[in-house]
Amino acid sequence: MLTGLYLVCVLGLGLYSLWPRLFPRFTPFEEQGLTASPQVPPANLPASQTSRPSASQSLASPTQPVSLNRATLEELDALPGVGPAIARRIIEGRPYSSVDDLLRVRGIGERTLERLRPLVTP
Amino acid sequence: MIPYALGAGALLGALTQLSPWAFLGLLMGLGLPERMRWPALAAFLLVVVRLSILGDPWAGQIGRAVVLEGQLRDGFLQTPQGKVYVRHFPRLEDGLYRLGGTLVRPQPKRNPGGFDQSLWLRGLGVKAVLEVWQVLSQQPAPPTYRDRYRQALQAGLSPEVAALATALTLGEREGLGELYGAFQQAGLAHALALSGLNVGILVGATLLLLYPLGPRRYWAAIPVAWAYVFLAGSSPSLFRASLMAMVVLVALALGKGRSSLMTGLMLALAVHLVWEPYGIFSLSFLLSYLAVLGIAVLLPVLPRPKGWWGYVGEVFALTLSAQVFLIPILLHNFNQLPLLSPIANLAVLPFLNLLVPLTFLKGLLGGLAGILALPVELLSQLSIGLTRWLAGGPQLYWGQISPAGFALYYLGLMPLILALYQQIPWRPALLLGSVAVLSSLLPTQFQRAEVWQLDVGQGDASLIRLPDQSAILIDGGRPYAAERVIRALHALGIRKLDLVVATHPDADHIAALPEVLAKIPVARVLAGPIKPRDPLDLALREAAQTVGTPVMTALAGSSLRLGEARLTFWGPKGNEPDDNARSLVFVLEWRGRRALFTGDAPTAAEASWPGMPVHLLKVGHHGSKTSTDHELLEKTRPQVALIGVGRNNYGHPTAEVLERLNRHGVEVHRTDQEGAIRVQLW
Repeated sequence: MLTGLYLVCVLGLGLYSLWPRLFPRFTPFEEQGLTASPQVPPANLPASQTSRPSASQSLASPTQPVSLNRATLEELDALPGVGPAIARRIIEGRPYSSVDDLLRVRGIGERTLERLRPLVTP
Repeated sequence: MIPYALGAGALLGALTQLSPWAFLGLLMGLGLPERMRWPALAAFLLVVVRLSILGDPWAGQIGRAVVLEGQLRDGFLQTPQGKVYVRHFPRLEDGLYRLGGTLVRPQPKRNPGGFDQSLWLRGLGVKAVLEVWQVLSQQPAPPTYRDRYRQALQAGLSPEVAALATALTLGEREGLGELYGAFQQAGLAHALALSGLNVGILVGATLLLLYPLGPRRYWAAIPVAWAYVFLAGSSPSLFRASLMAMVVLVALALGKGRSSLMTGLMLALAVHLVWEPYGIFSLSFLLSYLAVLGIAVLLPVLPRPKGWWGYVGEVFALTLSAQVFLIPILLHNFNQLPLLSPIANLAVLPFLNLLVPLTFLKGLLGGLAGILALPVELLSQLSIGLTRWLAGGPQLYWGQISPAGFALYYLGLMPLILALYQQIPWRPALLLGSVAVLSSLLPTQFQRAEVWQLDVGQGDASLIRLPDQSAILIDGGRPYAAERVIRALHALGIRKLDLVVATHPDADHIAALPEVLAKIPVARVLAGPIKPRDPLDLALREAAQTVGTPVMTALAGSSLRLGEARLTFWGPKGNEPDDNARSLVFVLEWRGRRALFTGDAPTAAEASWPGMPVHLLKVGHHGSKTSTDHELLEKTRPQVALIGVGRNNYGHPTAEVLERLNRHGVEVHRTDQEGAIRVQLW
């Protein structure tokens, strides 16, 4: 009888501590001085993707990123901040497993990398 | 008893890879009876000799440029010197190659839940990775029988069914994609590992066909099992199953009758470890042996109903006994356990058992394979549909388990098994088991809040975990870091985020957050003022809107209470000129302990913050000299500093900042050196 009661207690405790792991729930919170951000009108969203304020972007097609591992010399040459010499070095430096690997290429620094990042894929 | 001695000796020999202390285990051998002592010692020595033969073929060449030549298969280059894992983007097709590159050691994992390349390769006995710089020559591999077999197998099937059929017969799971996840969530992933089922069906069919040969048919069936290993490639579970089948067949051929499951398992373990002593590091090795051990130990003694419910009871007993030793390992590695697993096994396994011989035959038939396309297609669609449905069932979520947790689980299990074997009465067994349950519940009452600085390369991602299961994520790093963050959350047992703080719209801080929001339920996002027409800011807000998570703006003076934790914002004012200066800056306070998170805020902003001692500082701007001024360290007096930094050209963290921290006696931890860092708010 006592054993049974003890076991029920243990199992109950176990279930009680398991419960949040079975059904996760958010913790309630109190706030002060927070303001709800205005909703982004959906119409804005597609427009934002084309109107990125980057003058050099028109050189490369915005929809088709250039592949660092497969692009031709001309395609790389067309990228902003990349001349024929750097384009050749990019090709010599293949393969690239991520865009960050471009830092390996002599002549490409952090700033050029940030400009190239939206325009290229590995 | 001799098989047990062989198995134990070989296991001890393999454990010497973990620690030389395993040699002390030999002392236990003195306690063994003479008849078992020598076989155990022999198995031990064989494994140790095998280990010294395998050695490390690459020891002298690590870090050097090398040219290696050999056959590449599934990403591994087989050279006369040994096997290496090949890293190249894009992935190289199978074939004969001459590759130039650098040999490096495999990477250990850098984040909780991260991919542990070093452990994975260790379990495969591979000790080096070749970082390819140049492909010097390349020849496509001649098509093997495996390729022709696969072609016949897949002919006439829809893509998904073809992938399932290939997984069931050849063990190639790559084609399954998200369907594999569904099998995992339904608790059926074990059916996709080639194992006893495949070998059993194959050997059984052979024995039936060769019935007229009499006892000689047992010898004839052995090469059939090994031919299958050759065809499908040796995975630990298939190798184990074939070894066990061989033990049974040899015993039958010698007229010794059916050997017990335990004998087969122990002999297989001994042979397996002599051949591949590194197997003990492989997860599938562990799962495979422990599942069969569970079946061997528990299935014979588990009570089950008679008559009508017999079949149902049998399947439940089988699922339970196969899983019982695996549960903590599965939770530790996959972070979830499907609770519907027994029902899924009851419902889907019979179809899969039918599918295995059908698909196997389909591949063998070659040109005539079209006949079987329809039944395979129908059965597979049925199994896939059922699996997808069952995958939606409830899961037990769990994070990584400490060694003490593993020990408590098995210690709690032991008295129950002993009671099943009637070694001890049930009442003390249950009490002993519940002691283990209670002591595992105890530490949950004394948990501390903890802060993780995750390693997301160059960028920031900090995670705050509170003892009441609530969690706050601050930034997530670049887009590629999203997967790392999500895996880390799962590995830490976090299934929902109560708050996500996006400090400022820079790629190395918030670009990963949209994907995190899409994959993990989030109660609320805190961000700075809207930055008009900024693609990153918009992407974050759009992602939050898509999943219905409210976005709130926090400014200096805002505060928020979440359970026992309070977040007080010191910045931004909202009118600063640049992104970094508009970083959200806040102090987390939990039971009197404070941690300061500063985003990329510059020294100009630091000057306006109040003077308040904090225990932990997330160093601003990855350790750039434009942040973390003397004045800040003077007025906040942090004891521990975390720097989220990866390979970069900015020179982060700068020597100046490290010097400032050093002068104030702050203990510094960097993600580029240590991987993810965990700090408890003690």
